Amino acid sequence: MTTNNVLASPAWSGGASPYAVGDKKLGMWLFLVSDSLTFGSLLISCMYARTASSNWPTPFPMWPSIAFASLMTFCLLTSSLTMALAVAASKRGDRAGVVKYILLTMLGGAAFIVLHAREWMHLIGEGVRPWSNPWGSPLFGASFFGLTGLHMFHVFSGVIYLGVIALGTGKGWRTHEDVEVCGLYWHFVDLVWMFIFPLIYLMSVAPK
Amino acid sequence: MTNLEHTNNRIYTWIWLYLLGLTGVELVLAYQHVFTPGMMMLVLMLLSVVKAGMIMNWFMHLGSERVTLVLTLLPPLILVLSLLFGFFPDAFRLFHLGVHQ
Repeated sequence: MTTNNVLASPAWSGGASPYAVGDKKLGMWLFLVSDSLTFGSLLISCMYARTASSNWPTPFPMWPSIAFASLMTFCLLTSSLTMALAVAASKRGDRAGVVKYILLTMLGGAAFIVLHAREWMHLIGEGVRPWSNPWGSPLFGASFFGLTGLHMFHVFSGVIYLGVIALGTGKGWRTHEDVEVCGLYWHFVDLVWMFIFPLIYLMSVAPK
Repeated sequence: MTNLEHTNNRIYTWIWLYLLGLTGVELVLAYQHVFTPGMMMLVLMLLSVVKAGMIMNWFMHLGSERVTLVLTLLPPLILVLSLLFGFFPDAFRLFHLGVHQ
């Protein structure tokens, strides 16, 4: 089959671009699917442990733990909005707008990390470890630190990634696809938190 | 900025508000302890799936991609994650037996 025939053939018959996306975007989507499996397995194992335990700890009072976790959710959701606006600015070629919105996104991510680090220190101070805690099932600590730690690492990496893209866009080194792909990663980090927040925090709210 | 871009930015803002609203619903459910833990987990996870769908469709623009890409990415992921739920009857059995760790 000649090159022209391949290009003209339908997508499912080996068309040159069956997905009609760039290689970076396709690569990022495939990475996100594999990352979803990692987070999905951890979340489901946490749900399993929660369901199978009659003494699962409920250490989070509405104030301050749930209030701070809600604030963290607000930070991530707002950073997703600013990221969407950054991609929109990139699409219309507004480089200054891209840098501005990405910096706001980074601010949201940094606020999330600071608030979460504070939550970790608080729980460690109360004696929670990945293998034990003062209240009940030892799997609580493993679930909490495992899930939120992996997520926080993603947020931390994401903030650095955003910084690189903001710098590259400001200098004119980066294309629209780079900003869009970076946006996919950031929205995914937000998406994962939409599962972690209810499962880890809201399922362990202290009784009134 | 064109009219289309204005409309898109307005849509992003509305999606953000909906996501915040759904998070608020989750918070109220948790605060009021409306359901038993099992039912609560089910309701919260369903709400999370709705939120994840909104993020993928509007923020990640998956709905605007070619169907071939969506079909390559999502069904295998959903299938594999669904298979993991096959372990759950065992979790319920442990709970009803009252077995402690």
